[in-house]
Amino acid sequence: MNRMFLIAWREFASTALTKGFIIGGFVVPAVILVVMITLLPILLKDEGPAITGEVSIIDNSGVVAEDIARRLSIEVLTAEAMPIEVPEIDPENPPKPEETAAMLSSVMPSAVPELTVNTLALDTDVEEAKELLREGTADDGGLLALAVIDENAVATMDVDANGVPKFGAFQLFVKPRLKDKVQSTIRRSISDSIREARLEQAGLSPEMINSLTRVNAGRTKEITEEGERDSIGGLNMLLPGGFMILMMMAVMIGGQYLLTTTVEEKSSRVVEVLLSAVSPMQLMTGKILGQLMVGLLIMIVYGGVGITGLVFAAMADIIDAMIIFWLFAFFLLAYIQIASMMAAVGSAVNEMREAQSLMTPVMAIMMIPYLLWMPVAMNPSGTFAVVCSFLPPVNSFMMIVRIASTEPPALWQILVSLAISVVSSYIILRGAAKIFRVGLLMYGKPPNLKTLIKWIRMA
Amino acid sequence: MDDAIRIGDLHKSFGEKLAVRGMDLVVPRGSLHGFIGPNGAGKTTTIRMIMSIIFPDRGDLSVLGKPSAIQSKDQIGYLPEERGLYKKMKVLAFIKYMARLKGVSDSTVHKRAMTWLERVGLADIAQKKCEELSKGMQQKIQFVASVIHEPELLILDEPFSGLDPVNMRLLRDLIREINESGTTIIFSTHVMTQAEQLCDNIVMIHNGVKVLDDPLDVIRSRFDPRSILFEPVDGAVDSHRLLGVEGVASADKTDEGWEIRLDDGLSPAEAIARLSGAIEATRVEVKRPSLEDIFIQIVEDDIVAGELAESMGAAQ
Repeated sequence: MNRMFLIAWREFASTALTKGFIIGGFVVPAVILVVMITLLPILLKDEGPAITGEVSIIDNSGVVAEDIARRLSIEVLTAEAMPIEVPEIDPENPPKPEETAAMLSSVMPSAVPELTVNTLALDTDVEEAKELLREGTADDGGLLALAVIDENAVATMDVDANGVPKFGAFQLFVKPRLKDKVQSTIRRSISDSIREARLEQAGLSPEMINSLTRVNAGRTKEITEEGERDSIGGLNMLLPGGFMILMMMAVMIGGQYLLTTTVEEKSSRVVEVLLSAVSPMQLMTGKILGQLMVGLLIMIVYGGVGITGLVFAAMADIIDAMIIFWLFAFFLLAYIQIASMMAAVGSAVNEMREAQSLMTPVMAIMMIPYLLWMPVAMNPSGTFAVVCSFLPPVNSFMMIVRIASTEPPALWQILVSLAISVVSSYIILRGAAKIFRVGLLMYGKPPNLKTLIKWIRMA
Repeated sequence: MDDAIRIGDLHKSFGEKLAVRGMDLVVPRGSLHGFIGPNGAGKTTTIRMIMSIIFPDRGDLSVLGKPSAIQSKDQIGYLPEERGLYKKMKVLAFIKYMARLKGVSDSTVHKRAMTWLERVGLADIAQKKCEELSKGMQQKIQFVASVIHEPELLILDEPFSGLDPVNMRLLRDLIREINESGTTIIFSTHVMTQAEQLCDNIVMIHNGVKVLDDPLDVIRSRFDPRSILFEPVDGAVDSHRLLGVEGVASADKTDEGWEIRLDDGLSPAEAIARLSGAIEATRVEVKRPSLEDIFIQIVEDDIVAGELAESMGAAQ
């Protein structure tokens, strides 16, 4: 037993207590997280230099060109881009870093295009006008867009069978690669102008119509034991996925390291030295235990960061203590299954390159939960979700999705799934141990799946 | 006192290949046994079965009085043929790790590791990573890892491969020293001269079968090739003159002089007297059969016997 723990500790120390693991596993993700929270919103808001150019309008309706020019003027566009209200900062209670970033990004005005609107004569040849759009690029300035508004876009005599007027449209031609945002600003301005002109034509007040049709609603609030907060909405859906990905990440990282160290021990021929001191089963169990600690460390650190985030957002109550308990229980069983497969593959090959073909079925199994978590999380009590959570070897992942969902399964279902995981873990572990025992001292041609099955029967 | 190893009718096959066939062996405690034979003869398979790394298909096995080496792993030191180190681990850490796996207590492990590193002249590289060492240095570290727990039985599979003559001598002296302190040693090699220099007893394995198991001097006397090495003063002496001496069956020129085969019935002592009388010589001596010669003779006899059995089978 003592030797098994010695092996486990060496396995853990040689993996987790290295600069590479600490930097790659924790420091780099932490830096990325900080950058995402603090800098990314500001960087995303910065749109680069403003676009300058001309917009030509052939207004066959004869009533909207002037209003479009007004709407596309720099004064109006700047006013639209400015924040509605600038938040006040309380010096006694300064905002947290993540709040500062959101606040900054909200008050930063976005880049406003400087557009000059030319109204062209009605007899202008559209094809000839379009020719100018072929010259240069959108960044060079010049003519950026040509809008052709139908004669009956605002007023029409044409009506359908029900007597509803059938209005004309407008057509917008733009330079290739003109920014989407500029295109939509131009489209929106033309649409708004035509709509308001139609309303006025019909003797209606645009302000009144806007007021009648706009319904303001406050944010949905959740009433919790501590008070109330904004509804977490989509988080109900993302939380199960988050738990599953956390579990998957810990299982995969631990399993992958186990594969690598097993192949290294075999290829560096240190394995026979080890086998003179411990049995193959002790060696495999020790290695699995060591990498289990690595997986647990990853899960605790990353899960801890997630939970800390929820605590700061005052949403910690959405995670039940029992979810954490089941997460560890199902992680342990899922890890044993995947790690056993990895150890078996590692012992059977001579180098990492050879492991790829044998890894394909393992990777295919690992992909299944990624593909299934969304439908299971959307309908966690449906037949599909229930079946998935009983189907080894993916049942552990699927059950944690269900447990973390808004409709947690009945306890008996969790226990049945757990029992299925225990039995399948035992079967996989036994098979893997047999392959491990035979494979460790087999060199030469890497085996295929058929050979692995033969080894299981042989051992 | 019971024997260190007792093996009876041991068989092991890998698929169609019979790696070990009906092996019987007794290794008394305190002896230094040499396992010799060409590559693929079955030496390593036999050793792996002794170590319980692989298990026999059938047969009896007892190691240090126990039915399996697993029960006495702490009393066994093993330097396998396929050996390696953890490349990223420091030398001292590696030796200490292996010692702990072999049951050395935490309180003594550091002192023992440093003592052994000093004995093999590697104390100054204790904090270096294993990957930074030369092949010879790595070999010595592996040797230290196999003996640090002061085993009762030490099994060395090709311990000299990759060593220069100086380190080879150092290791040879250490092996003798360990054996003199009472440790039973099994030394396996395909380089037969190494076994000749070191071992008291030789076990020769060929095609998975033990073909020889005796003390070295007994083997030599049994396989007396009835040859004499003869170096005449006059380098111009030809074979006709030598064949003219009564009792000389053949004379072959070699780098060292002439190798003379004797007729049956003529004793080597008498032949030396006759040759010295007939031709003036700088050196006349009985040629001692090397293990290599003996092995080749056995293999040749085996092939002849096989062919004979085959032809007899065909005739029937």
